[in-house]
Amino acid sequence: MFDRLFGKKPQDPPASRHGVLPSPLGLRLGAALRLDSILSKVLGDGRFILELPEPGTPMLVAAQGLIDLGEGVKLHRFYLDDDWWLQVKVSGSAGVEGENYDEILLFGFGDVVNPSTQAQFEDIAATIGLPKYEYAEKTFLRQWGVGNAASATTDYSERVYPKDDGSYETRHQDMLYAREVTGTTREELLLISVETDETDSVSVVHSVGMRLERTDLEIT
Amino acid sequence: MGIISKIWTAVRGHATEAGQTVVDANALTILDQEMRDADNEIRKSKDSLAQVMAKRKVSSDNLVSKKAKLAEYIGYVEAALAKGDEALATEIAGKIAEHEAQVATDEGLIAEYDSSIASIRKAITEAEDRLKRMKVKVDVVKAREHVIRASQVAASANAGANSKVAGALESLERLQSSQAERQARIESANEIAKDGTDVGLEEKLKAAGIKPGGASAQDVLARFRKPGA
Repeated sequence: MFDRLFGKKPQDPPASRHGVLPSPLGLRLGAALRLDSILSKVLGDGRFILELPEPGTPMLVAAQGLIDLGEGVKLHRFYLDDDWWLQVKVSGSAGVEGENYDEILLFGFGDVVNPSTQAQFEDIAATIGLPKYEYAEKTFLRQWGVGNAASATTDYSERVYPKDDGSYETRHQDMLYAREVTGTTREELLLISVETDETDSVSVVHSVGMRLERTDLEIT
Repeated sequence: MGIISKIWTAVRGHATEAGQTVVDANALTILDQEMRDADNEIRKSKDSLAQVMAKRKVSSDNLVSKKAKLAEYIGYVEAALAKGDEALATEIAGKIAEHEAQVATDEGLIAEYDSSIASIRKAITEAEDRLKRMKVKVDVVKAREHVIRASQVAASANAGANSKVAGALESLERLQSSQAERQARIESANEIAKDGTDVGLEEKLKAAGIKPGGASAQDVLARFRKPGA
């Protein structure tokens, strides 16, 4: 009553825990994604290491990650329930209604190694960046760098905003590999990331994935 | 543009160009403001064009994506048929039909975007050309205005000089008149002075022909020659 009398504006609804986060393709915390059911039916036959969701099963965004690679290039990561995550690469602003993007990748978390000794970490690290990488009995070819020597990883920081928790920072040292899969034009990707969290705990995370077309995803 | 609008434009114009005389400056001030408004409108049109072009790019990217998926689906339906999986082949064929319709729709949409983009571009170019011509005209008018003002200053200075000459002439006339008056006074004073002396009397007698010695021998002779003299 007094607020109205003295002209004080009614308060806006409470902001979300993390304020306003970018929303490329309409993706956001709490959004539901459905993958084209044909992909699950055709490619979910064991040809891919990546396990695709059951046809029609929605995947919910539980956390969002932001990575600024500089020069206007940003990676938006959306961590889904059941260990899938989606990466949208955007150059410049998100553009028209957030529909402007360069690339959409779907990954599933694979093996995570927490080296217990420096020697173990060095053994693993020595293989990251080599022209070939063996994973789950498949051979992947390096996508970043040329030549026979090991290529340097791409290093960056990611700020992660969980839907129901405070944000945190993670440092990444990444290398991307890929392999061809018979019967499809889609390659299988392998992203190896040496992750260091805010407590300086190091883990080596393997994620397998594929490139998606915009029409592969239904976002609600 | 209505009168009120003109007045408002002029008021706004004065906010950025103060110190000009109201009457002389109004026309140019309004023109300047109108050109700034036109510039802003063109900028807005360009922003709109950029938006339309961005939407066209999104539609075009989606079309490429849908065509790629169409090609991929065709591969999958052939594989499903080869394996004898009729149910999957039928489902994929349904998706192909859906995508073919979407591709046709998107192609039509992109053609509409292209048409709109061409039309907006043409309109912007025409507006820019008109504005350029208007700016040239305003520059010419402003230059003329400067020339007119300079001429007015010169004319005003000239008028001042003429006024000063006329004043001097009047003073001269007044001086001459005063001198004549003073001369008359002197002469008058002399007259009075003469009246009070023998000189005056003698001159009067002489003028009346009475003063002896004053007349010539001929005068005397003539006097004696008069009958009865």
